[in-house]
Amino acid sequence: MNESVLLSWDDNPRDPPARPPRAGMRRGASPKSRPDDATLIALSVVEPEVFAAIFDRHATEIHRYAARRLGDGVAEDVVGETFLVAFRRRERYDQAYPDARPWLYGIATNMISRHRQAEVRFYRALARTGVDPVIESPADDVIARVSAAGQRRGIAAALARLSASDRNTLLLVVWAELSYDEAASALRIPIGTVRSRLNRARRKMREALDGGRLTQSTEESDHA
Amino acid sequence: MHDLQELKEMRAEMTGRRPEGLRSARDLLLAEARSGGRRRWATWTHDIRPRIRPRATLIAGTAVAVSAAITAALLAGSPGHSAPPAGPPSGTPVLTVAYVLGRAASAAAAAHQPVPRPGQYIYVSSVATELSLEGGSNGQLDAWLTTTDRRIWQSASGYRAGVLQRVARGQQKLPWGVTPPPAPGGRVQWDPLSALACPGAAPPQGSYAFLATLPTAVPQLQAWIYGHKEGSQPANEQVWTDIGDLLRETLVPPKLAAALFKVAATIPGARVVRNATDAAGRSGIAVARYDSGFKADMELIFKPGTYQLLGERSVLAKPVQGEGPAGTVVQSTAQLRTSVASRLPHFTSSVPQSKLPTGPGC
Repeated sequence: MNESVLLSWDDNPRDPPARPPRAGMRRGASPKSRPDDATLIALSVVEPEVFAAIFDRHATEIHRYAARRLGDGVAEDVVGETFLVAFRRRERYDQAYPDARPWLYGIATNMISRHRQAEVRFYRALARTGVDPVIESPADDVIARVSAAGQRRGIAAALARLSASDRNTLLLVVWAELSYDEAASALRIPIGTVRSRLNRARRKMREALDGGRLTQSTEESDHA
Repeated sequence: MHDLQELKEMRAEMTGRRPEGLRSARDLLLAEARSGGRRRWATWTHDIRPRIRPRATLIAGTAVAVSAAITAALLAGSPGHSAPPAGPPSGTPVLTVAYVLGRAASAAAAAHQPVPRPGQYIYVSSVATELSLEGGSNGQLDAWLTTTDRRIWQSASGYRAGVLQRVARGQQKLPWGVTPPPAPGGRVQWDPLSALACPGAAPPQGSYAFLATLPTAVPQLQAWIYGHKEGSQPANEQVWTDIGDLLRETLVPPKLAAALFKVAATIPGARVVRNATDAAGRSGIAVARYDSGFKADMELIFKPGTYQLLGERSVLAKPVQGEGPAGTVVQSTAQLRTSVASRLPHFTSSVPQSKLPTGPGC
């Protein structure tokens, strides 16, 4: 890190990347008075390079989410665009939210939406062939990309059929593990809308799974 | 969510890359951060201190009364008995804000300066003294002043990328602060600057082309500035700062510069500071206005005699806990040379060429 990013605290990059503090975990609750995201973003308004700390905290998580939707390569571009846009909007960050994850996921969702056709094409390919084009593996190891569970093909087909807004909501909750509140904040929609979108999406997923059981029952036993 | 377990496991084996593995995305952000930091630094305490308060664009359109006080021009030959104790000796002109800004407006209007073509670059060399912050071990921010030589090439149209060269000159301890760490003496740093807009888009704010679109008649310019200010400070404070931002580190069309000084002259509450020193050590005459967010006087410094703009300075107007006594200079600039360049200099950057910020992604 030759970057002259100035602040240092107990933000150990060796920590497991998975779970930054959740919303509601205010400053006092985190170890060694690690500043919360809102504080860093406010500081970055005057010391722009401080924003790199937001990147270091959350880029891995955003990258994983984007990679699950679009594959590893595109995901890096999504991460780059997401943090650029976030940086440019940092002055408007709502200081009422100590945790920036919902905000970042909301921006990432917009960036991912630019690749909607590719995303849907991948789901369809998985549904059709059982090979997941998004999962990177050595070319000679095609087997690793073949989904063990026939159900996954049904799920991929269902994901491909969901409306973009339902899919965004569903995946923010299931893959990004945002709470309903956080998903609502990320997508700037009322929490009631999150619930109704999720209900609709879950119904479609269930239908897809039931269909999968009927048509691919033999493969399903592998998965169990 | 039991029914979604299968979905939850789908592609769950994919891991996110660590920041080290996202180097180009991170470099992109840092390049933007460095270029983004070149504007509006004079407003930093506005931004940081009331940080709980979300920034909001206020409804402007406030009719600004032209203060009778500042229309009073030069009071020549003021009688000794009415001079303030620290005032000039009898017979010396008393400088008013209106006089200083009026002279500055005349000087700016008469300035001979090149008109850049859209494909060209505005080159400015300057010195800036800024506050550096570093997180101390106890969670407090340590601070000191850093002086930097800056040379910047910015696309006149805003449609092209530019570049900023920074050379660290030194670090000064603040009277109240810690002793700064050894400075990375003379280190040259090149920061690519993004294009501000796609070709064909309206001239983007921050470009010379944008400045060229602004009205140069005082009432219209005044209406524009008050209508476009940002932030929750009182309107006059914010507009004073905004004028400084518009003038900093760029070429300003002569008529616009003149009009900006005239608009500044309509803002009540300013005063003259007879001896102000810019970041390059040049002394001049300043007009200053107290800023409540900053608790400091924000000064525009002019060259005595010619009234060319030299630079800016912020001086604490009252003691501020943790910042220092009244009179502490917390930041300053000096604009040294401005010209038009046809191409960017050759430079080496830590940002790979392929990842140079393209800004709007045209």
